[in-house]
Amino acid sequence: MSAFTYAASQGYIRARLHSRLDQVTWIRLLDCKTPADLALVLCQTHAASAVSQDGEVRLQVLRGEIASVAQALVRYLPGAARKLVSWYNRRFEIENLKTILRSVHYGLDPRRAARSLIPLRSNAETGAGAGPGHWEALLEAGSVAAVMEQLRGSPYAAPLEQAAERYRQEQRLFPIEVGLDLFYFRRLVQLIEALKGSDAAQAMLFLGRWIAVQNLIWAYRYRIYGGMSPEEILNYTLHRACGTGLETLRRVVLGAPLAGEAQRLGLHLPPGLSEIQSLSQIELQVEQERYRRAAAAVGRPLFDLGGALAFLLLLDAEVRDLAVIVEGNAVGLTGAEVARHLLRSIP
Amino acid sequence: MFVLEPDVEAVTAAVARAEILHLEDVQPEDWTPSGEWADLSNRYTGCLQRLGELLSALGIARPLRSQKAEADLHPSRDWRDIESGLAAIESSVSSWQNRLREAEHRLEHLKLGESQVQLLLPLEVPVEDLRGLRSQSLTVGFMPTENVSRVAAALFQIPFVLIPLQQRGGNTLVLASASSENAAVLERALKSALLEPIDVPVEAMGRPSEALGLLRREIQAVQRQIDEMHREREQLAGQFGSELANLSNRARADGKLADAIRHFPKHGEVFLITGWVPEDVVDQLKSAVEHAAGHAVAMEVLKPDRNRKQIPSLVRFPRWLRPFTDLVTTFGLSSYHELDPTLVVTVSFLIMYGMMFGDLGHGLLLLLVGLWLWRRHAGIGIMVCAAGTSGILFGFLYGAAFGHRILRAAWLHPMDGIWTILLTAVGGGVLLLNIGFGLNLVNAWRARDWPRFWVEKNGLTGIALYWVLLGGGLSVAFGVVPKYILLLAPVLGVVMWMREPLAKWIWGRHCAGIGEALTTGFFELFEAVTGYASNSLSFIRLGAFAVAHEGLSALVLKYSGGSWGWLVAVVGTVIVVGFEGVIVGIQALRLEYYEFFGRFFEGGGQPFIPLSLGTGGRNANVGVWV
Repeated sequence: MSAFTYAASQGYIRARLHSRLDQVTWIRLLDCKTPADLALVLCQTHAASAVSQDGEVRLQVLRGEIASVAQALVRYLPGAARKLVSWYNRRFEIENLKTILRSVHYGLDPRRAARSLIPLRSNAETGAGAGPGHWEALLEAGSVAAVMEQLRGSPYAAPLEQAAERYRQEQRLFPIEVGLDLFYFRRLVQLIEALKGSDAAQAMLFLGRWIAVQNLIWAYRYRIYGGMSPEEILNYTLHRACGTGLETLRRVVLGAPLAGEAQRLGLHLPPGLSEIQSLSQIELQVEQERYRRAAAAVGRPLFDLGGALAFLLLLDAEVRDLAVIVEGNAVGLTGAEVARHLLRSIP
Repeated sequence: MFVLEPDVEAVTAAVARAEILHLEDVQPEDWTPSGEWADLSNRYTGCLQRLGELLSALGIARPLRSQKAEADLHPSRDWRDIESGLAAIESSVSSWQNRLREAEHRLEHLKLGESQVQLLLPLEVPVEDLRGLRSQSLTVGFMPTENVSRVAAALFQIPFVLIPLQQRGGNTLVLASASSENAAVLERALKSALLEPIDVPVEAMGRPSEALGLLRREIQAVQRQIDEMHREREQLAGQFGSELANLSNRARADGKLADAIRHFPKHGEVFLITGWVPEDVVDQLKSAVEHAAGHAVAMEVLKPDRNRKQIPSLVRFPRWLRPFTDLVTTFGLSSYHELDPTLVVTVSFLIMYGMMFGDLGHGLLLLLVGLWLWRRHAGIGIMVCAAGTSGILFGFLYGAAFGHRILRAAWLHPMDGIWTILLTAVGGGVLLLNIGFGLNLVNAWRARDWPRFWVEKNGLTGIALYWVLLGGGLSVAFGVVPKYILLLAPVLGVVMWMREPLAKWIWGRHCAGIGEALTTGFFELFEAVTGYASNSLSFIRLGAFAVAHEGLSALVLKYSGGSWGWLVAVVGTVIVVGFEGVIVGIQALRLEYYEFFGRFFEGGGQPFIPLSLGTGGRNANVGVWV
């Protein structure tokens, strides 16, 4: 039966693929000399909604659109796959929550902070129930405790409450943010592990590997930047992460070099990089690999979860590359310099 | 609208009651939002928060919206009445709330102590002596349940003891111990696992069995106090319920207005209210605003800028069409410059469904399923009923019921006229694609997107090429069209190939380098031509499914004889109706989304959400900028 529902999702995906930016547009975007040129080119594409009246490019709008598309796509997926994609979609909510918590914690102007929020529609199906107005109201909460109070009853109440006492004592957002990340990724891993057959394989390919590398990067970041103790690093990372489990983490906390652990995951770092440079290199390599796999997968009919995940990854990759171009353009990098940091290859 | 400060709340209230203005944030130079209204808005948010807490503490359901509470709103001063009313209730309730909170806290504290002391029962050592351990570090506290195994894994470098004692909600009470030299590691691990330590209550004195008896007597006494306080709650709810409901409704409505006004830019004594309003109710808005202000209000009405992408779009649907709107909105909301295709999609979806699922009996079963669903979920129920009805109508055309050819087919039996039905399906597809082409022309015209109108693959040149290729195909296959029509194809192909340079030359559109434009143009032309053929032939599945449906039904019929025949008939029919019913629905949807929408529809519209005192708004269809 799932093959039939996947057939419907394929129809939806095929139709939606047409609205992606084409190669010509990417070349034009890289050729843009100023932010105004960039806005002009984007205005002629489906990404025009991201260009505000004053010419500012707000990529959060596109992220909101991806969330909406994923919400629609979820309707066509069978049970376990639907749960996974719904949960995967919550990464936008987590991002909004972090923005809100930071804004409230540092006492930023709610109106300005609201511009950094991803405009998410309410999601009755996944039970998030948080429309754009709701997110903005949270910005007005006045204190982190008030934000937590307003989120009582939401899926995020438990991780927030668990970290509340430490936040109160230390007045740092770190325990809350780590708590949210672990809450999100632990559930994501559980949902991937609950899948069977080709769905499980595709989820491992498109999400599992990303989670594994993400977990490794966290561990090294806590070790390198945070100077944390082994037990703290182990408590702030995932013990089951689709390939980066407890054994890997124990090696990391005991001082294993990054290049060796990256190699175990099939990632080859150029020699001579510092650990800090290696971390960004790993992140880029994995994202490029995921992009290539996703681009190859949507080109052929996939009557399993792979088609849906590949499609969503392509949408994410598009916004990610646009962000690189916008930032590169703002600091005056040339098109060739920017192109090196993109996931797609532009001739 | 330029509104004077004294009028702003009356005007905003009138606009909210009318539910016809979708507010838009603008920020002209030298205009800034009013800080005073931001404070007022926050004040109402605070009031609502406090009201919510009171309602929840007293076990009162959130009140429904009330017209009475929304009459005569003055958000600039209503907060005083609301806050004083709230403060009066809070002062009456707060002593009870504090007593309850303290009692509950004490009860929890005592129960935790009880569970800790229970662990110590085997010991014959006074509890007070355990508080002063020297060579061991002992910690008791709650941590998230999922962190218990994680913290054990994290302590892999030291010897330690970690005993889960009991679960409460998502947390587990644990006892953790390590030698004094490892105390710092244990503490770091527990802290990073979000452990909240608890202390053994000071009431617990003497040997563990004696301390336990003391604690249990204390717990019973506190529990009796809490039961008494719950009875008090019912009295308080009866006393303050209606007043709280009234305050809550008023605070909600005032809060909505204050929140709207705080976003209006202000210059001197003038507020600027900007938003979208359906064209046919501009006069209604103007008169509502002027009536509220008591004098004329400066209002500038502008037509939407055609280059602007984000204009909220609203579509008014006839009542009967509303259950089918999901067919389009699932894909995306039509943007302002696009025609909403719900009517075409509904009609074509039902025709395609019926064509693939034509059978009087199966259609009737589907209709009954739809009627059953209707009571639970009206939208889906109506759609299934319509699909069943379409199946019945095509059942008449095919003369079939449950696979029996009981009637003379008004049109044909699919298995007897395979070529006819396949060609009809493709013909229907060609018709639908051409409707898509037509809609694309209208959308392009409305958006003044001339390259799209004239030279793109779904524009006039593309349509002409499609018909020339179709004519060429017919001339080769049947000789019904003169072959020289094919000579037009290269000319049209070249126009489409040169699309980008032409768009630059004629309409001044941005164009990449000529070499690059021609290369991409060539591949796009190739994709367009293959797309015309594959999109048209894709509809052949309508005929194929009709034939398959009749074949499958006949198969069920063939094996439904004999003593177990009834079982074959029932199971077979369930499979045909349930299984195939879903498949043809998906196929029809796929044809709509991929073949049909790909010709003209982009979606991505912004929904029109007018300012209102409630949670929803009304629909309209054409907007103007106010």
